[in-house]
Amino acid sequence: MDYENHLEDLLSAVTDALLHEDMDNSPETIDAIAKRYRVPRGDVEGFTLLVRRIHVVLAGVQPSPRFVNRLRSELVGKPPRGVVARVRYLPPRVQIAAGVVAVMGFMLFTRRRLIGDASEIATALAPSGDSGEVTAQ
Amino acid sequence: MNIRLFKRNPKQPSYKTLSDSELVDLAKSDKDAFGELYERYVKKIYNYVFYRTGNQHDAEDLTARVFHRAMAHIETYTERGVPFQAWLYRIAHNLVANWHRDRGRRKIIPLDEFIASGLRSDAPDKSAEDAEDRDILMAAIRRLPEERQQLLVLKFVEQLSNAEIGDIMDRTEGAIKSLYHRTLTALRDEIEMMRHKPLSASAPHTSPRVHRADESHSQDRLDHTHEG
Repeated sequence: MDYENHLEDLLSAVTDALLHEDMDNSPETIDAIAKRYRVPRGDVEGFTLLVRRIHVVLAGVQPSPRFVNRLRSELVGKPPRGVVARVRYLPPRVQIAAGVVAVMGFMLFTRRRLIGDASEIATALAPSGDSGEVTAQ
Repeated sequence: MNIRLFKRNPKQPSYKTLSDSELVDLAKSDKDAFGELYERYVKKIYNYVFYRTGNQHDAEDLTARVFHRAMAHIETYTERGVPFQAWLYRIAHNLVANWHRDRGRRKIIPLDEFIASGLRSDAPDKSAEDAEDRDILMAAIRRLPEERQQLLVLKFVEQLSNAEIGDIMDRTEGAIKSLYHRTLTALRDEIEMMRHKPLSASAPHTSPRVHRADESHSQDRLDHTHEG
C-alpha cells in the first residue's frame, strides 16, 4: 500500500472515530494514529481539525413532529389519536374557525348564566306584593 | 378450536425486531409494516433532503414525495444488491436532482438555514470569528461538486459507513474512501483560498447570505433507481 492508500484509510478511520466520539484531538491520539497508518503527523493534524469542523457545521436537523405525524397519516392512513391531536392536524383556517366557535359558545353560555343569575337576584330583591311585605300602620 | 381462534386473531407482529428486508416483504401487503420503515427512515431522509435543498419547506415537500414514491413502488421492489436504505436514498437523490433542474440550472442555496442549523446547542458562546469560519466552511462545501456534497452529507449528517454510502452512490467502498480523501483535500484548499479573500468576493454573483452552488457537475449519474 502506498502513501495515498494509507492516508485514505486513516481519514476514514479518523472520521468514524470522531463521529462516534471515540477520539479527541490530543497530540497523543494524533501521534498514535499517524504512527499506525505511517502518515506524517502534520498531515493528520490538519485533516482531523477539518473533519471536526465539518462535524460541527453539518449537524443533524429534526423534522417537525407535526410534519412527521401528518405524513405518516397520509401514508399509513391512521388518524391521529385524541381530540387535541385531531384538532392540531386540521388546516389552520379550520382550527381558527373551531376556536372562534368555541369562544363564542362559551361567551353565550356565560352570558345566559349571568343574565339568569341577574334576573334571579333581581327577582329576589324586588319587593313582592304577596308575601313578606311589612307595612306600617 | 383454540388453535383456530389463535390463528384467526394472530398477535400483531413486532415490527421493531424485524430487519428491513423482512419489513419490505411485509410492507407489500401490510401498511403497518411500511409505517415501521417510515419511522426508521423519515428523519434520515429529511436530513439528507434538507442539506441538499437548504430549506425546510422544500425538505418537507421532497421527503413526502420520497415516501409516497417508495410506497407506490414497494410492491415491485426487489433487493437485487441494493438494500432498502440505499434504494430510498436513491429516490431522494433523484427527486433532489429534479428539484434542482426544475429551479433552472441556478441552484441558489440560502446559507442562513444551514448556518442556523449548524450551530450545535453545546456551543452557545461562539465568537464572531467562529461564525465567520463556519460561513467560510459552509460556502466551501457548497462550492464542491454535487457528488462530493452528497458524500459529506451522507457521512456527517447521516453518519453512514463507507459501505453504505457505496451502496447509495453505486461505488465500491474503496472508491468512496478515495473520493472522501479528494473531497477533504479540495475542501482544505478551497478554505485556504477563501481565507485570503472576503467571503463575498469568493462567491461572486450572489447576495451577501446566498451562495450559488457548483453547477458544473451533472446529477444524472445516479438517475437509475432500482424502483422495481
